[in-house]
Amino acid sequence: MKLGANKLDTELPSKRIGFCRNAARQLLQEFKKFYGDIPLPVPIDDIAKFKGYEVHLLENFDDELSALVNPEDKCIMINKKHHPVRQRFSIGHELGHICLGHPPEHDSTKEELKLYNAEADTFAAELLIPLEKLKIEIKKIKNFKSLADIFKVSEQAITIKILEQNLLGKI
Amino acid sequence: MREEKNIDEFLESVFNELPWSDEALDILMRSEPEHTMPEPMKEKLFSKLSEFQKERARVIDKLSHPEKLNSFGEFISLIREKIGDEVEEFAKNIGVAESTVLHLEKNDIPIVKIPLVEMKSLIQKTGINIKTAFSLLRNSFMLYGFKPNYFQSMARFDIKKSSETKKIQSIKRVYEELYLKKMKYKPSEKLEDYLASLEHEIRGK
Repeated sequence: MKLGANKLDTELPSKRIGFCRNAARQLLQEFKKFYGDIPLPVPIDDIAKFKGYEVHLLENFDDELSALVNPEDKCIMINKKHHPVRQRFSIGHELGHICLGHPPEHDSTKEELKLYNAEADTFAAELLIPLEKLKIEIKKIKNFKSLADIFKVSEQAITIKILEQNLLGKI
Repeated sequence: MREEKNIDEFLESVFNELPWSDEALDILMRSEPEHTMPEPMKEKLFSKLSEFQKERARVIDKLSHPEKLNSFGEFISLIREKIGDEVEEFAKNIGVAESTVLHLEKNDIPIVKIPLVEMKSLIQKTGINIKTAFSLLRNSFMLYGFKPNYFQSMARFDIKKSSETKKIQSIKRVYEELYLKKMKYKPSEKLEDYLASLEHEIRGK
């Protein structure tokens, strides 16, 4: 199903979590075909390039704005003032909008935007913390901080991922 | 309900410098010194003040590195915001036409069309370093006619901390920066002649 093509109904949010994760896994698989096994931290800049997108770190962002993507110009713009970990997540988030086929902001309602952003976050979390890799790492490393460092994501992101995937018992 | 409306009117008067209504004034008078300010008013006032302070800090931060701004118009707009002047008042104080300020801020005038005497006044009275001013003027020259295609974009923006207007302004600035980064300035004879004359005018050579 091509997302963003239709208006959303109330059932969609729960269905799309799996869809978003699968879309991220599919992108990782495609990348893997060309570049071999995915190292950690996931090379998010290279994945963006692989999708044909240029990533630009720019100064003139207000703090509230983390990132922008323009599919027509194939360009992802990132807030240079933000922490690198946050920047990585923002790139993943914007790739999410692209891979999930979300329409431009001005074509969307506030409710749709909220949902698209939540979906892009789910996509980014799977892209940066692939479940398969997390399951391997969690066997060796038993604390959130070290896991976050390995995946180069925030402790908050790794915690949410572990909770969402019911992996807390494995720690 | 009425009380709530009065509080809103009062806050609007304070922050938008509108004439105070009798009712709004009454609330203020009742709140001092023998009465305490009503809680809802206190909360709203603090929240507005905090927004105001945050915005002010952002403006001051940006003005502390004018060389990082996108254009001379952005610099002028920030200066105006800092001192709290409307375009009309600002233009009058600097001694330039109101339209000059408006066009500069919107980047919709070729820089070379601005009279030297007005540009000299803008540079001298805002106290910007000439080298930085010239660099920003070169950017403004490049940005003239640039229409960012931001309607196609998707933004990761925390709307809870801001507003829709701020969001659009912020997105526009990012697009301008990217455009300037990609285009690089190719010296224009017309502009360089203008800047040379301007420097002559400012330094009184």
